[in-house]
Amino acid sequence: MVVPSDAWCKEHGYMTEYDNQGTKVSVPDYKKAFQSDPQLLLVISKINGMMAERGFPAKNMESAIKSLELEESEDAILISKASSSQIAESPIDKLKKTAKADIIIQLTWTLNQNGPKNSISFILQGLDTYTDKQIAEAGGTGASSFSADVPTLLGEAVISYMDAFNSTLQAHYDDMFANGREIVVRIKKFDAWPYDLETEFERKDLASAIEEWMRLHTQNHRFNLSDVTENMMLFEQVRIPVVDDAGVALDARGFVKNLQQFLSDKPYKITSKLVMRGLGQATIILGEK
Amino acid sequence: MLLRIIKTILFLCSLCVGFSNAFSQNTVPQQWHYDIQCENIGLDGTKLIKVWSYSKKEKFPLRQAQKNAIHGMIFKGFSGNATTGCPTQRPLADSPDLESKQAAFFAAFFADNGPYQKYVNSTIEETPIERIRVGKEYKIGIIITVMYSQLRKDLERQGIIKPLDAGF
Repeated sequence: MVVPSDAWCKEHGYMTEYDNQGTKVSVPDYKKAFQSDPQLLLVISKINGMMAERGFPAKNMESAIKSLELEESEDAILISKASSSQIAESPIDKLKKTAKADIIIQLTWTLNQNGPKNSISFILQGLDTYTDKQIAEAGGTGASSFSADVPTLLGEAVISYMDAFNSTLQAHYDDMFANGREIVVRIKKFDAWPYDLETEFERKDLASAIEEWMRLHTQNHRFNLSDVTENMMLFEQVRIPVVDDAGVALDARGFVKNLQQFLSDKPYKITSKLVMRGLGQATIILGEK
Repeated sequence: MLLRIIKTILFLCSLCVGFSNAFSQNTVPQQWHYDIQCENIGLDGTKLIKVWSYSKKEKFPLRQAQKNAIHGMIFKGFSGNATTGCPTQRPLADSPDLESKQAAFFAAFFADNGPYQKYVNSTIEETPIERIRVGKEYKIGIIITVMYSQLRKDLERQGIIKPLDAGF
């Protein structure tokens, strides 16, 4: 999915405010940008076309926004049931979840005017929605022109940078298939649960059992246990296989559901709740559904 | 005396063969002696490049310059050019030893009148040629349009390079 960057939205006046638990937060107003800026449509349409030609038809952001609006109206009805355990999501997190795009292509351009000459500075950033890391990039400033108009310069910029962008994207995919997709996993506990991660089951504490499960199920045993206490565990840079043993594509939710299943079996028999943030951050909360 | 002369001749011949082998093993094949630079942003799906080929003769065959252009897009890529706004382009080959691994394919691909011709667009009449004398040889620059997207697609289809969506 191709998304205009925050910097571009701010420069062009497409920002709005939302209330994040009492604090006003300024976020891009994508809907207004799409409805008002034909140059944005031109660039996104060109990038979408070039990605489709490479076998990656990009999700259309306008359609994703419409789906998001529908989902928000549905969430408003469900909020009383889930309010006690929900994790706050920003509008962009919700958009990522709705579109389920693995990669967001973030787009920024600036028109440079030097006397009668125009040029375009153009930046494409490929962001992994699982980790928010930048995994591909291309950008630079095009040649100055006396006569070319802005849409022509923008079209030229897309043509010139997309191949370079896709080359860096290819390197990311090579790494992903070799070393697995990166996610973040958190383990927490409800206050009401009488046990914790130091509780021993068959002479092994729960934290060690979870760490052992991670070691066995991650690609090439790659993960980083960044923080652990009796109440929480934080696993970062968890590399999960792109496909499971049956050859079916595996996402963060599918991977962590297997851990949830492991904890619900003997000897642990722990009831837990699985909460997702975006596509690549999963939290298991032990003790209750 | 005659025997000594024959022995000397044989010794000199063996030295010549030795030198010849060493030379052929340690030098770049003549046909891939070139540099590539981006000339300008091409139309959609194309790359407009200038190929600098090296030759001992002032006249240089266009066919070899075209081969150099396609070879460069597959195995070398080119660095960016701030004046023309060209970004750096990586080669299409995803590993440095692709040429040796697929030696039979590329021998046929770059044969005279081989498939490489489908991906270049230039003629001597239309293309300005630059010649620079460098030591004992000439550096000859020819502007060539490479049908880059078509080249990439065909190499992907034939399994020579990996498509972007491989594995999904």
